Amino acid sequence: MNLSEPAGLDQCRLCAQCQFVFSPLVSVCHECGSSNYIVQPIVGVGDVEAITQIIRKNEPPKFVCRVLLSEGYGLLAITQPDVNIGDRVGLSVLSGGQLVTGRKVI
Amino acid sequence: MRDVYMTGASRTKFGRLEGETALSLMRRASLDAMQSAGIMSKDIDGVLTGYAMTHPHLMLANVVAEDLSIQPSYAHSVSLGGATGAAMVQLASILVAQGVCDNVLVTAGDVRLTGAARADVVQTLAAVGHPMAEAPTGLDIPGYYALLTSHYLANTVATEHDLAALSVLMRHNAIDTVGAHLSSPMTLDDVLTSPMIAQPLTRYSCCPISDGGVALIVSKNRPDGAGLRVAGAGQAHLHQHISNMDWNENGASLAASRAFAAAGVSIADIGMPLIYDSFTVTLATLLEAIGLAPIGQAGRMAAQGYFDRNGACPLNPHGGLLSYGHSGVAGGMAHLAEAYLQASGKAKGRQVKTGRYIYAHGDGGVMSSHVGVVFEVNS
Repeated sequence: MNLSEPAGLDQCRLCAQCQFVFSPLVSVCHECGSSNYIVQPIVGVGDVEAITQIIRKNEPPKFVCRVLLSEGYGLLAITQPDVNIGDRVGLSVLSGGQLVTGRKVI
Repeated sequence: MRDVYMTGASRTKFGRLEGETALSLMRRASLDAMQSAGIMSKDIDGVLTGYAMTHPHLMLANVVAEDLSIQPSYAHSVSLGGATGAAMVQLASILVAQGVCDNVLVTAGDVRLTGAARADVVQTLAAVGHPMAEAPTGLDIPGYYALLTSHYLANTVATEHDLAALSVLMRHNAIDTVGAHLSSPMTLDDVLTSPMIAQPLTRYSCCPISDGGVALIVSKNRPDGAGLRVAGAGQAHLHQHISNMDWNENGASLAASRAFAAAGVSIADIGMPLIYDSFTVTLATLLEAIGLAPIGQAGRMAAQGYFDRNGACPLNPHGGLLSYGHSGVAGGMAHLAEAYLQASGKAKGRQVKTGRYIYAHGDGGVMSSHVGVVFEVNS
């Protein structure tokens, strides 16, 4: 895992005190209030909960979805036109730090 | 604790207001609101302002106070996105109830249409997204709400036609509302076939970007005639970013229940809701979360006339953000001004039967900040 990514979207946070797993957008455990956490890689699978297509003049269509990661929290990801709400997808992080959906997981 | 009343309100015309500034619109609305309350600048001892995208001053409340020759004992600029206006009414009511102030001016104004490039407005608003995890996706505010819309349509029985009915209702209400930004008749087909902004949101599923200003007076004085008592308010802030939003409870229901508890009322007591409606999905999900419609049914109820001015539950009689217009903080405050105008019998041709209690609900960010206020109509 690349730990230098600023938001670490391919990493989740495991509370060192109560073992609750939470998003890299959050710094304090919602369950116990501890700010002591361990960074660990995500499994890289999630379920698509919402999806939109960005439509702008002179730009190619771009699809963005919110994915519920198997770790139990949500993140936004760039996706493809054949992905639908309810699909289980693989996830990866581009070198720029953006989360993208990859293959559909059967 | 003292009782607290909204004793005056004013709402400028919304739309393209060439030559105006954020400050000029706040001044215009504030002077009119003071006049409606029967007071002058020297009577104001509290000033609350929102923020203005086109007047990004660090101390906007002081700027407004100085411009109006007010020397308040309390001044405060508040920033909670679309929930700012309702939050300011709650704060003003606390200040008055506790005796800190007797008359609080609450105002906001902006010229987002004529005072800023559209691209700059869109980019500034998009900054509510997380800088690392959300903004790089390219989503802007309509994009975030488009995600909400897709989830809503996939998880309820509602259809795009149902959501469009809410936009049609707001336009219908705006047709004879003086000062509305968009007031030409509009049909379901107009909404559904208007240009796509972010799938599945079309242009007329979204509010316009407007210039406009609103001011309210919150006071200890009970008006002589019909007036509006601030009966209770409640807030809830469960997330900032849509990535962290709980689909089942984004805070709307919690804020409403806190407001109802503070006022000692229930949803069944509310005669007229004034609900934030930046997008059709905003209005639908808020109506349903608050308890004014079953899940997935808000649009169908609108289409059936339930929320008409002469319906069982008149909703946003002025046309809401979707048609009266959206000028930032003032956009949400236009609903609050409507509460005063309706309760004091000054709504002219759009006067509705408000019942004893009015409920106003503001939403900031992407369903991030929720503030509800219950008003009691004194007759």
